[in-house]
Amino acid sequence: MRCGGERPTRCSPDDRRPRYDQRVTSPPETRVSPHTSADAPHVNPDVPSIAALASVIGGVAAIAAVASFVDTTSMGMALPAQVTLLTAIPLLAMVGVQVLTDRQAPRALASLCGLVAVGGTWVAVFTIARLLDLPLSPLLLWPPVCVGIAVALSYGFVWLASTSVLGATVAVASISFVAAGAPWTTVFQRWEPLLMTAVAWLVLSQRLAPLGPTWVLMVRRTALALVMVALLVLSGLEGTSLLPYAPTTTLLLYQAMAVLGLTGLALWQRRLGDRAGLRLVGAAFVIFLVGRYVDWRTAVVPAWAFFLLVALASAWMARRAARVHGRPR
Amino acid sequence: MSQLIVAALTFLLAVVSLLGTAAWNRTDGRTLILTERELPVVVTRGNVRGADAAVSLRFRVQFRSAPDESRMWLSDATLRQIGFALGVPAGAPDAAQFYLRSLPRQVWVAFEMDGDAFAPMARQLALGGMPATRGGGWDGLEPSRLVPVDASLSRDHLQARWRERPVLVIPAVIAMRYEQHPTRGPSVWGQITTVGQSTVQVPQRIRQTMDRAGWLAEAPVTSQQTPAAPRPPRYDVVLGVGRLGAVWVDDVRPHQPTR
Repeated sequence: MRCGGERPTRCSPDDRRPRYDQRVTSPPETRVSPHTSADAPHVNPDVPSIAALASVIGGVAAIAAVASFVDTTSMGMALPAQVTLLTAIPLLAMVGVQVLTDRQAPRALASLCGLVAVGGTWVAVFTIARLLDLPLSPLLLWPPVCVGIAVALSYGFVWLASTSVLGATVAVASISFVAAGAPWTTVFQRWEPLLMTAVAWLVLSQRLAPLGPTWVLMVRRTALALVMVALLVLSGLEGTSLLPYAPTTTLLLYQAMAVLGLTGLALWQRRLGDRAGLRLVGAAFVIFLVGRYVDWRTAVVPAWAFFLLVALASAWMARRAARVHGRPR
Repeated sequence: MSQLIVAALTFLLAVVSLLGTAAWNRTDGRTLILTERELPVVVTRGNVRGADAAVSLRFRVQFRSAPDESRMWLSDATLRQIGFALGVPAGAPDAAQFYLRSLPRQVWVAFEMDGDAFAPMARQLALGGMPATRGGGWDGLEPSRLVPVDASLSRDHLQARWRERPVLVIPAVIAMRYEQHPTRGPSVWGQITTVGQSTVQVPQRIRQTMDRAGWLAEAPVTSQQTPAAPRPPRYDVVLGVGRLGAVWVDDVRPHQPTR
């Protein structure tokens, strides 16, 4: 039996043992399929996580090498040669992915090549636009996002799809600012459109079942991470909101929303049985609490009362969860 | 192989679109002559010099950002026309929050080259003062003569209005500013925060010309020069402005003084 393209000698019985995520989200027949991930250590049990990590680090380093090479070496060339070079690098990397897949090489290597293909596309599109003196626009985000999704879906590279979902979120969120006549980079200063788009991804992730459970998990966790980052920024930093209220009022509104939203997300993740998602929400909650401890702003509720309330609520939830499962967590 | 083709075609389509957009932008170009004062050289790779260096020219403009200077070209009517809400008086209690919360606007701005708007600055310069130039610190050059004179949501509108004058119409970002001055009281005005295209690439053939002429190297400092005596420009830049408002370097030649 082959393990998703990994060499047969690397497949131990432990590697094939289905993990929690797959137990709760996928039927056994989908565990090793063309659409399972090659580069997601939490999702695919078939690739050792060290190989996945090495492929990500190698891919990022290779992209940096490409960008640096183009920046320093190609400037002595004429524009056609520069454009040809910039176009050739991602295309060669794409061919590399195909060749490695055909030869059934370790999928971590193919994943590295895929990362270079997509990263090279980002570098190429933005560098060519700069060389041609075209203004930076959010439209430039779409080609690398589409290439990333195409490569990821074709070869099952989940991390690549995850970065493309991030890029697509920024591209979609920036539309609202462009439509309002504001520069698209305002998307990083006012976070509501990013939050809304991430929530839309969360809802959409439930509709991606035909692509396979791995993709549902990937989109959901990426969107989850985005929603939590947006909530943390909006509830912790002044001047990051579009709401027409005083800064303190806006912060308090978002702090209340963060408590409710994070609790809701935690309950949702628990119902779905996604333990990694639950940990993600837990981490966000801890960051939120640390932020409130450092920067307590409301006089309505004293800080000690708030934190005591959170502690009691957590204790109640822990007790209830232990009772439901019949053992302490 | 069919899996590869989708991604490759998407990428190739994007590259062709970029090339097509750049070509279409340049089909209806106007040109304007600027100097080293307005477009000094930026060598992006510090240790690489000469024809192989990554060379671009950086826009250096007068921002006219002080409240009284700004109101001379960005009146309340212009600010309303480009989409800012000015309904709250500057003295109102919530004015600071209202104006600091307003989103910046991406608009077209007309910059006049060495025109009437620069004349007061030239007089100030003659008296020994130096008008504030944004876009870099002291670089030894004379102040830029590219001065903002008008703003609008329509590029055609600006070009029609300033047809007879040497103006450069390019995108820029304008934001509202609010200040509570201890003696003059509260004040609200508009201000350019960024020029849309902050640098222009220098094509290879022009890069070689500039290298041969010694314009890529730092200008030699003469014994008469002090920081208070800025040096004159060494070259003129023929700048093309296309349909999309994207600019490009058409030519670079030795500076011909006009004043």
